[in-house]
Amino acid sequence: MNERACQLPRRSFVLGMTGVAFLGVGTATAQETLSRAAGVAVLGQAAKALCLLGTSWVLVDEDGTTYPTTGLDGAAVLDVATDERGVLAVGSRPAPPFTEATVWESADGVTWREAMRLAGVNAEFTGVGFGPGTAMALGSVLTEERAPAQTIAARRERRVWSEVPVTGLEPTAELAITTLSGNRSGWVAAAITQEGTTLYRSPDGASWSTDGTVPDAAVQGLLLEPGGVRWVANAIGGSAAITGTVGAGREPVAVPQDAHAVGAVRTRRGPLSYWLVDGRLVTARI
Amino acid sequence: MITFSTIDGTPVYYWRANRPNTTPRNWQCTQAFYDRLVLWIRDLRSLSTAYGTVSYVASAGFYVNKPGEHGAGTAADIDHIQWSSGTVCTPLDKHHASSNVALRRRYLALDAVTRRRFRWVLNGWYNADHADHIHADFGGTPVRLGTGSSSDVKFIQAMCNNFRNAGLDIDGKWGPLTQAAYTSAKSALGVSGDPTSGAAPYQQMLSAIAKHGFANTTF
Repeated sequence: MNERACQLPRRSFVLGMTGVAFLGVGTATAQETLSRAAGVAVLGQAAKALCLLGTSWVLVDEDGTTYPTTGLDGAAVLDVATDERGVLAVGSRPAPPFTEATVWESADGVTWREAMRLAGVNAEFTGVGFGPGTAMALGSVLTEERAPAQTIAARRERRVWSEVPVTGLEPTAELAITTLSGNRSGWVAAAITQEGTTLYRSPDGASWSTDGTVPDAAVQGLLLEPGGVRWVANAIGGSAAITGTVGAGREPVAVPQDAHAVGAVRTRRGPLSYWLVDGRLVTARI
Repeated sequence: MITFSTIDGTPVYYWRANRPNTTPRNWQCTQAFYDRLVLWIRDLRSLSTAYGTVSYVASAGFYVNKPGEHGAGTAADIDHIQWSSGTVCTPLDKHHASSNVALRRRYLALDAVTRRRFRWVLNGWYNADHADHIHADFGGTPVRLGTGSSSDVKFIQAMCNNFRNAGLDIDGKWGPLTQAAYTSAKSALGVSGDPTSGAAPYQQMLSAIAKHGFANTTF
């Protein structure tokens, strides 16, 4: 937790460590459960999740402490990412009867500012990440029925975000992209079909190609590791919590059966998955 | 959200990994959405009694961890309906595009039953992604026919073509030819009221379409 966040209003909240013990029990009431979790990322030295508490987005620390954020009021945030360059969030802003795809930036995960919005287009960004030399977001133009109709991409170049063309993601036009991860060697994105998840890889963010599938799984978090791409997901046929490595096996995650995957991060304790369970965040080693 | 493996006692299976798989699955959705699914399957049972009972449903997902209505636990993807008589309706096999008109009409009957309870229903004519399932969700306004909605207009155009040989382009655009075919179909079905302005007349029309679809009869 950085110094600025420590100075902000905070309160304890429930965060569980599956298979170990609850780290702390907060004072939140039944009305104050987390209704959504946009994602999880390592900020400073610790993992933090961006979650919706009531109608407000809060940053949830590893010990369950929550910090109110500013700049995200009314937003539908769908993914977050961090690296030493800062914190990013993507999603949409309401623009009735539609929504407008939006990117937000923050230095600390608490104070946010809008960095880009696709005005006048019914759209949402659904994945954001840092990759080789830049940051990138992917999302969809939506139909009136809010079905994906066209994949959109945006990049940050010299601190300015703009929509960019990409090739190779045409098969995702009518699919939801749930997560985007990058490292020095390139990018990986996950798109959900009725059969499972199709992964797409790109060395530069501009040219993409398919890179394997994860059957019967809606992947919500990716970790790009030397040994392969590790994922966390909920099954599509049923909603079982599962994890695995692309091209290798899968295994259940020891979380309650109604746990919804939020994401995965590499922490000092190793790779950790985050799950939303009955309005509470739960973590599990993967 | 709640966890369920049956809708009002009817099992729900997952066939996308292998079929015909009848392993019970623990699905999730909101309580309100499940309550609507119960109304849906009761409608389906009552409108398709000639096929026997509904033995099971195959689905491609209710709560699915992705953006949108699926992620909120307020959507369903329908792959297959199995009746006790052996009759089937299988969007998974793209029955909307079958060369067998009886299968196309049965598909439209299932589509119509689904529209009785869900505002947004995306079918095989809607786009390529929905060619192999019928999607239903809680989005949008209360149930009614929207002449500006591509999903609704394509359903009406497909209905007019398959029951009345209207010869319409299924393009999702409500033009004069679609208006004329719709008005004629509505009259033939004996629908009173305006399905574009209220749920009751639209549901009346949808029930009538479903009856003809399950019976494989024109109107």
